[in-house]
Amino acid sequence: MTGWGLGFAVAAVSIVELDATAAGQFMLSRPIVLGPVLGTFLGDPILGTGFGVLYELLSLNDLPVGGHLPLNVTVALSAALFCALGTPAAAPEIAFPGGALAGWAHRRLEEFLRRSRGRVGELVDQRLIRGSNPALLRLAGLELAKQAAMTFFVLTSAISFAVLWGRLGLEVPGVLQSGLKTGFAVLPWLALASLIRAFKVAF
Amino acid sequence: MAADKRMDRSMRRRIFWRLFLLQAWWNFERMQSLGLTYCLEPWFKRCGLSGRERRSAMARHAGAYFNTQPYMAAFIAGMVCSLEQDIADASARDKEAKVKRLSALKTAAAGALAGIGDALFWGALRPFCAALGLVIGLLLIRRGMSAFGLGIAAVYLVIFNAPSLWVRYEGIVLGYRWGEQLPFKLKQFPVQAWIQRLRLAGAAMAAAVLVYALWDLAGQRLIGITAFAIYALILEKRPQSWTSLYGATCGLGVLAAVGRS
Repeated sequence: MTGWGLGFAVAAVSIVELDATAAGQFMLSRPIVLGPVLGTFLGDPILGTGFGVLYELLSLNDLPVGGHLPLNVTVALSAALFCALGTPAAAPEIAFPGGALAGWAHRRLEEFLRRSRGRVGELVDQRLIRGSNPALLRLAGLELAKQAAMTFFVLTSAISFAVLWGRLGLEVPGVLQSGLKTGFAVLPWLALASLIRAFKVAF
Repeated sequence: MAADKRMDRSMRRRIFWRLFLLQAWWNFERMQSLGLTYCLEPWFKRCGLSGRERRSAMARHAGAYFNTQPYMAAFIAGMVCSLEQDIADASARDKEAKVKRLSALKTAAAGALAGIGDALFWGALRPFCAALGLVIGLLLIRRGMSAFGLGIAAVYLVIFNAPSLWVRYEGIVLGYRWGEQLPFKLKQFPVQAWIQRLRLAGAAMAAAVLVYALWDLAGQRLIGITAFAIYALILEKRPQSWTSLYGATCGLGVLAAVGRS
């Protein structure tokens, strides 16, 4: 894939990520939807679907309720796929936890962004008191742009790290790689346990 | 009861589109208050409020804490429109009492609807769609379709969005019609029964996927059953702990590798 193609894909994911909570919430950003689409675009729909299904099932019990911000599985999935299907390609058992780290980093940054939005409320209050137009749509556009830029930054950082790691010829220590392989092999059972847990029926 | 002619199709559509940005300004202090204010902005104009009255009404909503399930917010937006219309039509003497009543009703309805919406959409419909997508995906694989992933995605999107978009569109007009009766009217819907059915159907599909996975594994069934049972037991107590469980499994793998070497 060319640099432009990769840039386009990262930009598209950054916009789709807004669907997770900030705008729309049509579930376009859910891993089970985004995984197959991104996998197809990057040339491996099966890996895309596999990662997508895993992240989807694992995240089912972590609900975005109230102020709780779960690990960002959209970013986690995308980072994992970009690393696993990029050049040089990371092994799936390394790309998967790498993606989860990117999703965790995104969550921390999003918390910071949400905290900083308290100022937007104050700005709207001031505008309304002054008798001027609060320009809510423009403020929303600005906040959405900030969030998309943040996602773009996290994803490009993850990709750059993976590329640099590969170019420098660095390798994950054998013992750690073996552990990651074990974790990845058992991951589908953890995902299925998570799916069953999500349907806990109270009779 | 408010006259429906002010809440015509064009107004409903405007509020509907604006509801998609409900959480664009989400913050820890006021949560969705700016989003709700943005949804109500055209309604204040429709009620014939002057510039100053409009800004005052917007400030009331923008400054107050508001948080609910984003799809169920449509009902509250409709209810608030109905009550704001009453405030606009009320005499100056009654206005203050009506404003206080609106604020109390909005807070109460937000809490109640958040409980219903979280359980229905996040707790039941989302896992149901995932399980259904998996079953469809497995059927497509058995039929030899290579684009099974896109099939899963399409099924998930259609099944999830059909009811959620209906709630977001119809919720506005229902909330408006019912006004302050909204919490009582919503009790007439057998939501708990829907949730129970979705969970039962989802659990059946998830069990089918589990049996299929174990059947397909042949030689590694014992490992699969053991891993699944351990994870299921731990997730039962700590449902959000998948990252810790995954980390612990990798750690065990590392220890095993160290032991071997």
